[in-house]
Amino acid sequence: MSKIFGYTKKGGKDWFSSDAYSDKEIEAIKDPEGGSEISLPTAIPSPFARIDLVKTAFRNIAKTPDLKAYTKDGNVISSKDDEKLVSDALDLTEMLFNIDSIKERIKIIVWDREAEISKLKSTSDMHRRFAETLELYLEQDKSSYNFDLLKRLYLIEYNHKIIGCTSPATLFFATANDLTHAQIKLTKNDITFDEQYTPLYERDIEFQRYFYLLFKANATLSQRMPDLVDYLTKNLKKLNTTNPQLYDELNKLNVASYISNYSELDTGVTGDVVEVIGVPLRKRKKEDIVGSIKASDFIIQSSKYNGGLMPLALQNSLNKPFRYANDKWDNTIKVPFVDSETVLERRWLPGVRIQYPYLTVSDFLEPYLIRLVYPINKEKFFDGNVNAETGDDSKGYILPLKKQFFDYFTSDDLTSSFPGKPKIEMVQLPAGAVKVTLSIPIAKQGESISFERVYYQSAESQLSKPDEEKNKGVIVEHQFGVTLFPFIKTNNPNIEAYYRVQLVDRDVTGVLKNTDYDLRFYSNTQQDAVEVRAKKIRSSKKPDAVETATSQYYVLHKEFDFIQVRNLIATGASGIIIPQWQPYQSGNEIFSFAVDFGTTNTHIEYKIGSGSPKAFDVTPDDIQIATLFHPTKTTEDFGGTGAIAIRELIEHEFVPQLLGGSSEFKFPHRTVIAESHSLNIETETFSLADFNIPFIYERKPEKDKIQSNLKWAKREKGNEKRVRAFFEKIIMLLRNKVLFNRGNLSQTRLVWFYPSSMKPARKSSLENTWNELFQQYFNPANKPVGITESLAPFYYFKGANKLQGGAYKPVVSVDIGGGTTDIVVFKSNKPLLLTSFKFAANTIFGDGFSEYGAASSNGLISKYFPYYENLLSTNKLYDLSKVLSSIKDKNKTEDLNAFFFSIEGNPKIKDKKLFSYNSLLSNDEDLKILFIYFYTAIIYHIAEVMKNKKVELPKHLIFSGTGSKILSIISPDMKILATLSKKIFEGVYNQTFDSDGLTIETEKEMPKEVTCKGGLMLNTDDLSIDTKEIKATLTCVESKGIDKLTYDKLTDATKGDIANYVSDFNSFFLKLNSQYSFTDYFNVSEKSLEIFKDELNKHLRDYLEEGLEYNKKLDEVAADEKEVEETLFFYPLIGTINNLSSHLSELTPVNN
Amino acid sequence: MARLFIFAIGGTGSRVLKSLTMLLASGIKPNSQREFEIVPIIIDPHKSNEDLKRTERLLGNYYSIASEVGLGNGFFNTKITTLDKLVSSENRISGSFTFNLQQVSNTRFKDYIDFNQLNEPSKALADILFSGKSINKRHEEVDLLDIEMDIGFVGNPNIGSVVLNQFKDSDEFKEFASNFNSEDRVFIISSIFGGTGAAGFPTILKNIRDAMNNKNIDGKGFLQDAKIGAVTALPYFNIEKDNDSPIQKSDFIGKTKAALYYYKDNVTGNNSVNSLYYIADDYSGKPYKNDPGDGGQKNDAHFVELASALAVIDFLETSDKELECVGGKAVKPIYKEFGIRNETADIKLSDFEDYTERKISLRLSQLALFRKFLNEHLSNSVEKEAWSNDKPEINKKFVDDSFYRTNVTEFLVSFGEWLKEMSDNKRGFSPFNLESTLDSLIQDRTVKSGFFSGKVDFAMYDDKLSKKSKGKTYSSSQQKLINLFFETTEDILTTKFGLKN
Repeated sequence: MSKIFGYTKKGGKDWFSSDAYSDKEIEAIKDPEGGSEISLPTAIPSPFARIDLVKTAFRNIAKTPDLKAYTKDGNVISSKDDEKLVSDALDLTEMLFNIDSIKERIKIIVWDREAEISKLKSTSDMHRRFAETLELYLEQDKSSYNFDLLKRLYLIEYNHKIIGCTSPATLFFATANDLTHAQIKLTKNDITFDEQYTPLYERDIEFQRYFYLLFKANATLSQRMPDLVDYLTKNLKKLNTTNPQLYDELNKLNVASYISNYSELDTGVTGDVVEVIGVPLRKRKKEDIVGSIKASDFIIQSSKYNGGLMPLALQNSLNKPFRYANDKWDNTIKVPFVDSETVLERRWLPGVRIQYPYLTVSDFLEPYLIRLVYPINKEKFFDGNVNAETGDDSKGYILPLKKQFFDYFTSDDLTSSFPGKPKIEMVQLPAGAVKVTLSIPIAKQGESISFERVYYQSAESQLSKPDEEKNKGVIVEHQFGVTLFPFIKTNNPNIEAYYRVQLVDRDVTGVLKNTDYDLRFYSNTQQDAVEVRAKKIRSSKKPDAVETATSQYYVLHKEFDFIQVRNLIATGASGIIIPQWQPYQSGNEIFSFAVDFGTTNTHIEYKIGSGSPKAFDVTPDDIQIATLFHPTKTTEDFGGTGAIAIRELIEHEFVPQLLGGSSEFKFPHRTVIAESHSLNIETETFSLADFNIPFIYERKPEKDKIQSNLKWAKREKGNEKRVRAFFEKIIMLLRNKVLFNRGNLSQTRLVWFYPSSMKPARKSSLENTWNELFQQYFNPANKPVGITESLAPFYYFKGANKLQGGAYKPVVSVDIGGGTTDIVVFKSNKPLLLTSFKFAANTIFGDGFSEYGAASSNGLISKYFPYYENLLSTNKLYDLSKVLSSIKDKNKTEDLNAFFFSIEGNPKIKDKKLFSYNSLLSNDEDLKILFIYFYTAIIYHIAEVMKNKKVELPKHLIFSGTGSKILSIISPDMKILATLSKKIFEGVYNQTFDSDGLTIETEKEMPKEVTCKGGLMLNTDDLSIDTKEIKATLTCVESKGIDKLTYDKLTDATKGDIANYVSDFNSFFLKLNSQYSFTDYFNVSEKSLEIFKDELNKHLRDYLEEGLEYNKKLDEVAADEKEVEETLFFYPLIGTINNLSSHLSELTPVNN
Repeated sequence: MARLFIFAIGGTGSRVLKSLTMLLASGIKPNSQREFEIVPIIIDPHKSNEDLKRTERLLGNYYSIASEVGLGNGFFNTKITTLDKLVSSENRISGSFTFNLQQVSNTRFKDYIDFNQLNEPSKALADILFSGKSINKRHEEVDLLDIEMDIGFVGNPNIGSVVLNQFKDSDEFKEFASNFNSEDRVFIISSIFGGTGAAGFPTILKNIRDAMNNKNIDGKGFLQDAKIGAVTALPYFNIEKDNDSPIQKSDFIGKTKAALYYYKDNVTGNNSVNSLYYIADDYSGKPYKNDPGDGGQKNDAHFVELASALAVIDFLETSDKELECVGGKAVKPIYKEFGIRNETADIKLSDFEDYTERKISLRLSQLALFRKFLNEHLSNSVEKEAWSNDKPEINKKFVDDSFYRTNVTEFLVSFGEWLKEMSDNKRGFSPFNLESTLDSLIQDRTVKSGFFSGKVDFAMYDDKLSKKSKGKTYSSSQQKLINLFFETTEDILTTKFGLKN
């Protein structure tokens, strides 16, 4: 048998003519070791060996059935090397197709054949040799590799390493160097340059489409790259079975779409296109990716997002056949829990190298979960669907949501629990951990993506750090409270919004003691936070002092839907609070309010429509505030933390839950306002931020600075602000009442009162304040109506049918307030005569003409303060003891007396009799004479005025006002008082009553309230009277022919005459005693009577001067020619009474 | 006289050239239209290569002998000369058969192309063209760019293609080009599976065909259309398995195939070669020591090298007409393979096909017989036998002279080794029983010893020598020795052994 030393199967002898070795012969060469080994022999004697290797690899692999390594009959048709070379080249082609996805890491370097060779030749011999070799092979091997068409090569640099280059034979070829650094997941499930070699038909469909279009649209490629054409042909054949749809599509490709479907691929310089043998390559159009992704099942279903491309919401371990970016979702894709790129548009989708916005857990869930020391007030705030069946139900949680969540959803979406809406759930796990699950609706119908995070309990001593990358959250327990006022949202742009939000920070110990909180308010319709009109700090905590807390107040004039609470210092913890606003219903109920701003007490009455008036209240049905803590489920000491400041500061500085009814707080209430001790009155101030009406006053110890005597305080900026704040809070309460009860704001009516003795400037200041506030808060159709305090009670008594026998004969209405007494004489239901003077309850219970507090020297106080101090402490009423001492510190007699009177009305007092100041005083035989003197002076004065105006004797005396309680101190029997009064009238008139006699009418239980009630019961006709016309002021020197007294006429002589007039009255009073024994009828002690007589006429002239001086300062008087507004009769009496009270108080100690 | 420029590249190139030298020394001549002077140029970066050294020395001896005795004496009957001998004295170059590669010793490839000074685009290009790993002479894996080139191109012909390209700038190439005439021919010997040969063949081939673009040379036109033959040796021997070595047997095949694909497109495919001789042997025989070159690379001579040398003869026998070129392309490229009559592990002369057997049997046997006499019997005959004493004498003085002592003896020792190595190799070639008695010198060939004919022994040999020399005029003792023995051995072998002329 002959032997041929070669591989053709031709027979021959010696050196015989055969054929050039073709593929057939080359394939027939058997590799003794199988040919599958990866060694990538660089056996090609050309510097362009790699171009050749790849070309050969394509040629080999195109001969295989599956375009993979293949051995047939022991012949290696295509080796593993071939498979890798082809796969790498395809990877490069695909990378460039998707270049926009990796553009920040990729660089294209142009090697221009002519320019570079010429440069190389001119630099050095070594470079020249290299260049000439390249030149030689470029010329000699041009037909195999299309070097004839090669003008430029494009080197691909990735991560600063060359990874590949364009090839005129195969489009691209890859480096033989390590490529693990370039293993990226570009599309689908293929990782570039990995060990899994991927034939074309297993690659991204978009890429395949491009590949076929590229060849179809560019004949040069088909002509010059036959190996690739073979590969594509085989690939298509394969697709016929693996993806018939794509097969079909690829067969019908339209050449025109090559240009339109793809963008120019450039080197980074626009217009500098990347070409292979003159054919410009193209790349995936950005819009195409975006277009393709728009069909993704993961697109978040946002009800409001308008920030550009709608992001995908992605989660790990999702095992559903969803459409992802441009292919099916792959369960193995790792979605990071946090993406450090904050600009969504710059994010890269995980698993595929596509730049497109997406959202992951940390975009919506906070790293910290704020745990509260109380359960959330579920009825008013969204509690995040905490599963309370497990774990601790004495704690609540702030929603650990980032603000970004609300770029996509409204707060209503979250709380609605409708399908297709986001949903949050919190489940408490063992060891205090909490799992929060946020379901995000996505494009796939009925499906959602779950953002889930488990929050772990932080260590006590030091806050644990959350690990967002590992999705581990941290629970931090914060002690703060948030209270909204009012808890209503009208959603009506025509109705102004006026909110006050209180934040109480009681983190005073441990790691959080130096924290500082901030609230931001957001509306569902606006991206930016709602403007905060003002933010005020009223109390400031002192770390490690547990009784302190910081309170902040936010003044808002816009409606909001949710609140972000942020811890500014300690941890950066933050969360969302969503109020569950009740649906607001507009209505047409007409509300009428009457506000009696009294010297001592303020009262408000209201009526709805034509209903009967009742005291202003806040009932469980129209609670105006909303506390974040649950009002009933929260334990007394806030789960053992002692954070009671969260509750207390609401009452101290804000608004109580309830008013009136059985509540501990009600109107009438002391006319006082509270403010921070550190308030700078020169700054812009806001009611319920800087000031509030402290309903706890006289009930609980006050922390704040309390200002009383608002009505008659010196007129200066601070006081005006306080009055305004006082009114404003009232106006807000009224407004909310209307809003909560289907009222019509603009139809609301407001009646307010002023004493007719009030100087016009002071009165108009009040009037302006009322008008402005009412205008601002109600935009009313009717202006507020100001009524003199004296008129109203009559209409109450009349309207309530309390005047027996009618009102044909004169009826005298006496309204004894704290500061003034107003007298109106009605006849035939019409006011006939009116007078007013500052001789009222405070004459006895106040400091007389002392400009400053003089309680320490006041007789009543020195007598009864020790008594109450002892009584309260004996009965362990420590709060009230504290109240007492705090009021005493201010040294104001009227405040202390007001407090003594208030004690029996305190809900904490069981034995009202024991604590009743009224009862004590009525049994005080030493002091009784003062009250009778006081009373007699008023009646005497009335009689004098009436007689002077020639009015017949009255039939009824009606009493109202806080000060009318003095009547019951004198005697519980009104008939005795009526008799006394009759005797006074008869003495003045020198004439006796007819058979109708004189009756006294009063509302003992609610003397204060009748003003307001009357104000709501009178007709507008009743107000048509000009009170100036009927106003009468007794000069006390009428006998000297002076009917009108002006300051310039107030000479020493006149003053002497006035003093004499008073002296005459004193004589009248003593004569009265002889007619109607004070001892017999009123248990006046003999001793007191003696002292009384001794002291009575002392210092009258001095007291008159003091009174004039005092009043002059009060209203910063007045030109000398101006008329003296009130009678001067009482000025000396005021001094007398004050003087007498000290003497009389010393007689007998309190009997108890 | 026309010239055949032989570029013998790498280890295989040297060994084939050695075989050719043996054939030419034995008196084998191509049956060509004209006489050719052989100008061998050995190209091998691996200077310490033993094969190269042996071949160079052999050529030196050949040249000395042939110069001394001149042509027409049977043995050493073809002129072999160095390139420098072709040019006038003032232009003398190295004076050897070897082309000296510059700047390869202890040089990394990276430095050879001054990689670090390349500008960004060219550096990027070099980075990818020469990417990947290789194994250096310390058997460490290194980046291809860091490979040191002084042990050949250890299986990286792409690097070889760059480095060997300096050849075109060399004085040798310039001399070659300027001395190249239209009737001259080129033959390139290389192996496809190594480093140097695989790279050198296309480099030389392309540079010749690309001569028009070479500004440094004359005679471009002749060169571009030169008649070029080439033998490319495909794997024909085994090497020992050594995982640390850059040379792997499985690589041989892979590299061969890759290179063949490249040739298919860029050598044969573009008709660059006029006549290409493929030779391979898949016989799985005794492995060569795995030595990438640093151990001296001394490989035993192999039959395939002999066959390859025969390809040179065959090429010279091809007519000019068949080797026509136009525009640097062969008009009618020829591809050849070699066949023998019998598939055998140990080839004898009779296993060749007739033409080859006829061509080489007699001449090779003559040289073997010449060697045998000189080795075993000359000292007995000198100054005793008539042929020795006849003028010009082949006396003791002659034997002590360097011509005999160095040139002839060394050459024939090499010849003996060559034969021995081929016979020891597997597949083997053992035409002669070198150590046997004279009559059983040729394997498978029995001496015709009949009634009328005498015994074949040195006495008969001496007798024949004396008869042949009688009355002949020789120009010198040297010429006498070569000529006399050629004629005598021819006579003995044809008459006694029945070999045909």
